[in-house]
Amino acid sequence: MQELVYNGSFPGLLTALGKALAGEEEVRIWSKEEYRPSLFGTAKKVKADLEFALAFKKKLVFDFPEPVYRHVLYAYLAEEKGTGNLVFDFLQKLKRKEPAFTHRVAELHQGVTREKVRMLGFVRFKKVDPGYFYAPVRPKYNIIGLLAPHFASRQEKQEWVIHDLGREMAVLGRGKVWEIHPLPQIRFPEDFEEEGIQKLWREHFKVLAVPERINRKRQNSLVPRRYWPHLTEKG
Amino acid sequence: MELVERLRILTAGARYDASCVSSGSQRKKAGGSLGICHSWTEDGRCVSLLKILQTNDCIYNCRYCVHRTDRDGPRTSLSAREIAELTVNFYRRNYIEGLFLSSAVKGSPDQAMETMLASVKILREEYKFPGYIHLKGIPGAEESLLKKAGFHADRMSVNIELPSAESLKKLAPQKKPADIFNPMHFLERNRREEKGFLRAGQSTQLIIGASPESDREIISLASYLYDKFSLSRIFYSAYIPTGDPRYIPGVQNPPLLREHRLYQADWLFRFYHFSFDDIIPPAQNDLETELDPKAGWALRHFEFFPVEINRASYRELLKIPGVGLVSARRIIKARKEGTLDFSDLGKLGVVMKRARFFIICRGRRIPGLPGDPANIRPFLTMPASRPRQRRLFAPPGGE
Repeated sequence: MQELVYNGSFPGLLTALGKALAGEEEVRIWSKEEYRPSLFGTAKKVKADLEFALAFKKKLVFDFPEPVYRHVLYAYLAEEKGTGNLVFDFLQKLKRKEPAFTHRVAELHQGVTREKVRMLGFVRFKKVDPGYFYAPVRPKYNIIGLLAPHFASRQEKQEWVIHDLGREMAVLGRGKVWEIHPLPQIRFPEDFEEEGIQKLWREHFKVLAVPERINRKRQNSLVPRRYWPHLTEKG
Repeated sequence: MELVERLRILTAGARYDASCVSSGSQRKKAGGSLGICHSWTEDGRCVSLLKILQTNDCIYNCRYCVHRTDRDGPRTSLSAREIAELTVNFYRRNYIEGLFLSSAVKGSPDQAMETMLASVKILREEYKFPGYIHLKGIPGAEESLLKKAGFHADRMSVNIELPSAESLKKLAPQKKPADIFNPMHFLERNRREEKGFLRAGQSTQLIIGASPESDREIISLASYLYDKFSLSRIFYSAYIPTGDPRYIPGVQNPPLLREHRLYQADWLFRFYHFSFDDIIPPAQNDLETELDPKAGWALRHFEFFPVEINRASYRELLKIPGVGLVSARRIIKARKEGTLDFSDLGKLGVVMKRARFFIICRGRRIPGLPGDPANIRPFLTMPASRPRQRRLFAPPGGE
């Protein structure tokens, strides 16, 4: 059995998958962090090869229906243990034309999609002192890169930041252009108008509920507790 | 009065309007964001828009309405600029997808419409606001005003509120049916002819339970409206007793379950290819409250079942209780990869609790389930009316 070890990056995963699928023998794929040497396998380090990874991505899009590439990406972003082997198994199944809609990778794809859709609504920006619009978030999966295009198209000229506090990474955007950078937890002083506007929003939100229809159970199931700390209206 | 106080009053005035969606707009700059929910209020309803009144100061005395002239309470307004600034500030912080602006009729219908128009004009022209705008059309306002508004708004709605001319006369004596239907016609004509006019169409609202119309009358009105005005949506709003109790006696609680059943019927009509008679059989005046209309149809048309999941067409799948638009599509897709069995269906989103009575997979039924409508019925009705299972060893003397 061959074991491939990649560096933990997405291009690295794609490179390893591409090599593994091209070969015939049984392969296991581990990230550097996951790999534990075993007695029987022969481990081989796979260098992340950007060009090869891109070519493999094209092949995925060409060989399979369009969402398969997205399944691979989302499974990676879900950061589950053993992603490499999971995705490899998923692709092999597809290659053999076996049903895969109940595969763990499909579940992860669904979970990450749900988290993304929720977060599109739940991200809350506040205006901070240097004039940025800053949004602290703690998403379950590593999805700030999936959120960025939506917010880029929404902002006009302002500068904006979506900060994943747990992973200490952030999307830094200026209007429609954005990049992802590491960013440690730091405190930005709020702009002077911020408090007043947050208060208006909280009032609006509170009064909007029709008293005769109160249904907290429904509210709580639609806005799970883990999102509350960064929701202005719950503050 | 302070801004926050006015915001509170004018939000409370707008909350009874059920339309809260921001979907259906194709506006280019909106970032392709369709129907994002930004939060859910304590009543469990989705928040996607700043939902607010321009003013609650009204010349009309409609008996069902919170803003009627003979009702006490503070009257106040927001200026066009205040509305625009609130919207932009909330939008930038990702609280909302856009604005839902309604208004009482202050001064005259034209005056009310003009102020609202001024608000959206500032938003679109001065702030280049790319988000969604839903604007109320004021019955009786000048057509030229409606026309300008329709180019700025994504959707407009003129609320019919009372489902018959008779009730309108009784509860809103100052309004005539023509005041409502003429602007609806006008908007529909322009939507067909003008590019960029009301991209997300128009909608309307009917109040349920303030007047004596039956479900049959309401659904028949709804199907007429969808047909005639190609409405994007009709909102049904259970009457909350905020009106004049001398004219609308006897309503203590809003008929929420009835409202829910009407929405279900509306969905069947628009997306599930059910006909008017499918939803309400000719002998019936109201929808059953204890059973949803799709399950009701299935039990009345038991000859249609069971449906073989692996062979049925999309339309046939849609008729199965427990199978929705999404799960039907997933079934069609998944069965290309192989034959489906019962254990797969739950993962595809089918509600097996309901569907199991009506389906077969690979020619097999789920064993041990009742096979006739009368015995299936108790499994599909709401818990309150479900007969309790008898205990195996009943205490002496019965329960």
